Amino acid sequence: MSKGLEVLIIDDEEIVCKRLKPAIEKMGCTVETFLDPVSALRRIDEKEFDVVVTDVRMDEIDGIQVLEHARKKAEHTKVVVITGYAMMALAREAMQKGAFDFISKPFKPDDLRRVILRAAAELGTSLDYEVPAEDPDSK
Amino acid sequence: MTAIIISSDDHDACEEIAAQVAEALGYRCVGRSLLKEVAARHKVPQEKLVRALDRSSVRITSKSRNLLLAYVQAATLEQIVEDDVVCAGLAAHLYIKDVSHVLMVRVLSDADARVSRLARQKKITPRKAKKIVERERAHRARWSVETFGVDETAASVYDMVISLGQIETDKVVEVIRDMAGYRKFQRMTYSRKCLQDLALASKVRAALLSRFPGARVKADGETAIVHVKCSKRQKLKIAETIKQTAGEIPGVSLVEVHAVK
Amino acid sequence: MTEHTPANHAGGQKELPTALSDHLERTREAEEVKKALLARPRLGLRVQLLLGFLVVFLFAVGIAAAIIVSIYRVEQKVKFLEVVNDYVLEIDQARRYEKNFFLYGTNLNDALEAAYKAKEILEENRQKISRIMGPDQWRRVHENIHGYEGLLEQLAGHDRNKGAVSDSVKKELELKVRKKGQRMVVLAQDLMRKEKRAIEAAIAGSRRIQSYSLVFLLLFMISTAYLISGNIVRSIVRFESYAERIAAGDFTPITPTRRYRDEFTNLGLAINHMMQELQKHEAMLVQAHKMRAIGTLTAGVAHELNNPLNNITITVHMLLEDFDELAREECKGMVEDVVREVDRAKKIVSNLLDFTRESETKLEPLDLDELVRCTLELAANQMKIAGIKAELHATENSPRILGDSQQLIQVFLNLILNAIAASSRGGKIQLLVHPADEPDNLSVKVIDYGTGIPKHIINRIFDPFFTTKEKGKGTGLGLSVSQGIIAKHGGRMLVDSREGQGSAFTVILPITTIT
Repeated sequence: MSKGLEVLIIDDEEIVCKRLKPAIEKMGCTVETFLDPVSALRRIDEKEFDVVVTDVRMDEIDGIQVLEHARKKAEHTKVVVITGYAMMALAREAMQKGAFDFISKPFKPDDLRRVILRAAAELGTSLDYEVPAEDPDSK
Repeated sequence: MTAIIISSDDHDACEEIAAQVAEALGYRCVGRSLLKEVAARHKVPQEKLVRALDRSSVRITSKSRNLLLAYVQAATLEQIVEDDVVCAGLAAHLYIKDVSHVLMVRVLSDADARVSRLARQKKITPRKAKKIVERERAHRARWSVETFGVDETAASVYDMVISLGQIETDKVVEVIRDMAGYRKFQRMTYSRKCLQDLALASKVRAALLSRFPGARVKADGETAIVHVKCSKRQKLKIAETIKQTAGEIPGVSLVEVHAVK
Repeated sequence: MTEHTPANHAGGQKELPTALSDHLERTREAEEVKKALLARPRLGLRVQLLLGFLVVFLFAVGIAAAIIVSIYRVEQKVKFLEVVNDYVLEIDQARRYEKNFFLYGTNLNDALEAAYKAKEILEENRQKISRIMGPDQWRRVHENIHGYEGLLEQLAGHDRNKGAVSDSVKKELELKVRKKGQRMVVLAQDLMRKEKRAIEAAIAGSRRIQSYSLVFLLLFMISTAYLISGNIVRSIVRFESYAERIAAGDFTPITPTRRYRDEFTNLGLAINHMMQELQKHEAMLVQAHKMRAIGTLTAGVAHELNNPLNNITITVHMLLEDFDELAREECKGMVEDVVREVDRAKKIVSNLLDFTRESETKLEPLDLDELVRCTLELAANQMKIAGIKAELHATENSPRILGDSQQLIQVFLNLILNAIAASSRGGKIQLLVHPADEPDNLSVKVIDYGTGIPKHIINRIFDPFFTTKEKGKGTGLGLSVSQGIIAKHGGRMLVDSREGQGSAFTVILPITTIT
């Protein structure tokens, strides 16, 4: 039985946090959620997370700032950026600043799960969960 | 995990460099050899496809050219969606837009060498040869704007522009190889989706273009959005046809049809 | 304060309905005005001028006639003088022959003949001579010469009958003859003198007519010129005022002011037509500007929609996934979440949809702070994307203004989007709604703390098609169209900017008493 990942989810949309928490916990990970980025950053200072999933457009603090902060705190942290305002320039900026992946809203819970699986693989952890493969030929 | 598109005004140099980069990185190389498959799939002669891609060809109607290019586009995008690929010679730099993990490279041929070679061949003055070369460039710009709405001779289209006149082929390959590792050009879920949307849209368009030459197609996930020129009266019937045709394409579960004036 | 304002026209309220009536109304009105303008009798400028010249010509003709007549009179008088001269000559002849007779005893018959001739002349020209010296005098002269004749005949009788009369009778006769003769001469000379004086008077009169008439002609020509040019100049001044009015944005059609029409009427018709086209063109510009704004907002809305869409997607997928394990309550909760998010999506779209709706200009009493709030909502996305915050300060219970909500929102949106563009990330913009300095007006201020507008540009920012954005980014329509809309509402737009500090755009609108 391998250890699950420590995951942090930050989004000012309540539903995102509410629904994604059980979704990712199913994968055997520990999930903490925050609506407010400021308190989230404080938490990041306290604890090292394996994966940080963060929204970009939030009041007070930008998701990119969260990304930079998390990367500075721990090199191995995989930061996944999610946003409704996806544009190529923003995507490249996120990658440049060290994001692990960039997902545009709207997305399905499985989309995030696939990314977390990849993150786990890169971190050397294997998760006991299977995500149905993306089937572009389905009708 | 990048997709590298190499384009050049010198076709041979383009293919050569693409092959070398693919080898250096261990990527697949997608080039004109794909045309055989395209020709078979759509039952058109391969030479016609080559002619459609040839900038200087005049022996082809624009309608026919657009249709053939649509076939090429659909097939090429299908290949590029699978990562780690180098592509050249299929005009991919003209129909791939806003995909962050695609590295667009323009390789400029040695202008001076070309001018002197042309002058020697045609026995004309270097100045005349230069004019001819410039005219070719303008023609290429016009061609690309007419077919894809993008000026391929403009530097802003590319992420990197390298001149063979100043930098040797080996060094060019090295530079491209290094750039492929740049974080900005790594694949993301988002950028992959963008590319997949482009691929799906091009498949739908290729299927519709023969019947609806002016159709514009966008895709979002499993939805295809088609804009077609028709009057309000015709819209109902045309929408039915389009939904039928587009719906048959794998990956499409919803078709939206919009009539434009 | 750098002020750039379109002219504010007086009596803003009552002019508004005409200026802002919708297209059909305007066309109908235009037709009516055209008919009214053309209904009057035509009195063209050329005709006016010709009439003027004709009158002066008639006057000149009159003067010429008068001069001709006076010269004719003089001519007559001169002719008559010849007659008088003859008369005097005959009288002199008679007297000479008379002298001769008394000296030498001869020429008595000649004297008599001369006297007869003189009397003949006198009788022939009785009327004319009476006119000069009076009928009584003529009778006297006639009597005199008649007497003289008589005496001469007596003399002739005596002469024939030599010795029949005494010397003393002869001597008496001689004396009488001489006396009568002298008197005759005196009277004749008197006649001559009078006649000469009459001629002089006539010539003097003629000269007077000539000089006075020249003066009068001049005066007459001047006053006619004044009259006609006055008409033309008045019309031109009137059109000057029309031009000023139009430049200020008042497109009320030109209506008839005189009792007749002329070439200026055609000019008026042409200007009315031009104003119609200008209004149409203006309406198109406003629409084009609106379309741009809509384009900008739509992109923002599309992105904003992704959030409720994402919420729905995630909720629904989790619902599907865990359907069998979830408690009924939890399932219900998730479905309710979806419903709520759908409403949220609807609201995001409907805001923009309301703004894009094409509608005829509708005037109604509006609360400015509500309008500004609504505009801020529309621009919320842009602000989020740009990372800008907005502060709104509005005085409570402000009076309402009369206007078209869509058009005013368009103006405020333009100012807010400009302010956002001028600000840097993390900055703020301020919106102030409060009573203006001038009474019965409200002011809306949009303040940004950006780079400000350079002095050499600030005078041109309201010019149509002036933009500092690079090619393809801005059309430059925004401020000029906005200013046009505010002018039509009877208000004005001001700008105050300091380089490096920021800019403040102020919109002043008159309040309405209509509730």
